[in-house]
Amino acid sequence: MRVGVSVLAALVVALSGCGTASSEHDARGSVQRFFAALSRHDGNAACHELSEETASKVAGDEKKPCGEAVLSLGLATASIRKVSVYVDSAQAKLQGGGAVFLDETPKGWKVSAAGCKPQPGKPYDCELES
Amino acid sequence: MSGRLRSFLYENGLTLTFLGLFFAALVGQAISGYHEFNSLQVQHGSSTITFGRYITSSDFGAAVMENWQSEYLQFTLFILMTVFLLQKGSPESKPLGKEGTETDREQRIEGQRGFRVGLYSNSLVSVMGLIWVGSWFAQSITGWVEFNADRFSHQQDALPYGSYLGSAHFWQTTFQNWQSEFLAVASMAILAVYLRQRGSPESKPVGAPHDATGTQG
Repeated sequence: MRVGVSVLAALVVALSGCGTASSEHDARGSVQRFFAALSRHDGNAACHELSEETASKVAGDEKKPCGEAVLSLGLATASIRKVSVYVDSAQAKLQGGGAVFLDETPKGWKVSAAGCKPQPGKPYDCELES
Repeated sequence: MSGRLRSFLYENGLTLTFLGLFFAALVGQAISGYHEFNSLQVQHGSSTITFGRYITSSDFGAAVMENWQSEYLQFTLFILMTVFLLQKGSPESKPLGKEGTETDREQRIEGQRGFRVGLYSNSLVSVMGLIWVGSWFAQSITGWVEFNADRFSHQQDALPYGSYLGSAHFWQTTFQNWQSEFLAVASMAILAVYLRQRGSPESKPVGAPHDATGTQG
């Protein structure tokens, strides 16, 4: 019985994890570049890591160019605790409980939602999203 | 066409025809599923994918596996239950009084014993059951991956695999397939009591009475 459960667990990990190691690495890189740009107050570089929809949304909501709008949100940065990828969506869980969500686009992994705080039983409440 | 090929096609027509239909339907599902997937991607402002990527995706995999597992469950249960359960008047049933695994003489293995005979005696249910379990497992994996991708796109945490197995999503996709399979078997069992299809081994002879059980065309 224990052997069977172990084999099943290994199959689940193997099947679900097929090909995601490099995606996790790329998604992590995008979040790190996004946070680094915010830390040095480089709004344009931060916008480069956003998905087109999210960049348009933040510019439209703040009524400023994306580079200024994203900095005006005052998003907090944090170390990445864990990155998970499922198909073309990813989540970076941060130290302190927050999260960043990403989508895979033709231009690579892009941040679709940031400044996300967990809400028990509900989706994350995100300051920046598409 | 050579005589041997003609003979092969004639003797295996039923299997070959249904295999051909299966492949045609699978291609149709792949093409239509690919177009539907990409139209939804455009709707959500996400990038479209190639056909090659789609047919290796968990979205396509889940759609195929959820149907396979229910079909093989249907046959597994049907083969197994027709050993013990009867339906008076149905050609799908053994005659009344014949329930059970029958004697070795009736099964034409009188005097034969051993592991190999035992294994062969249950090989049909075993293989069908293994394919069912395998495809249900594959459905669970592909469905779990798709489910969590959708959760991330809506800024929700992913569910662990064990939690997904208890989720409404998994059981809804499972039951929606099971209900149709079980209804089809029940329909076939009872309709064949009263209706006929001349020439089909799935039907009683046209002139057979309704209460004649296990008599085929």
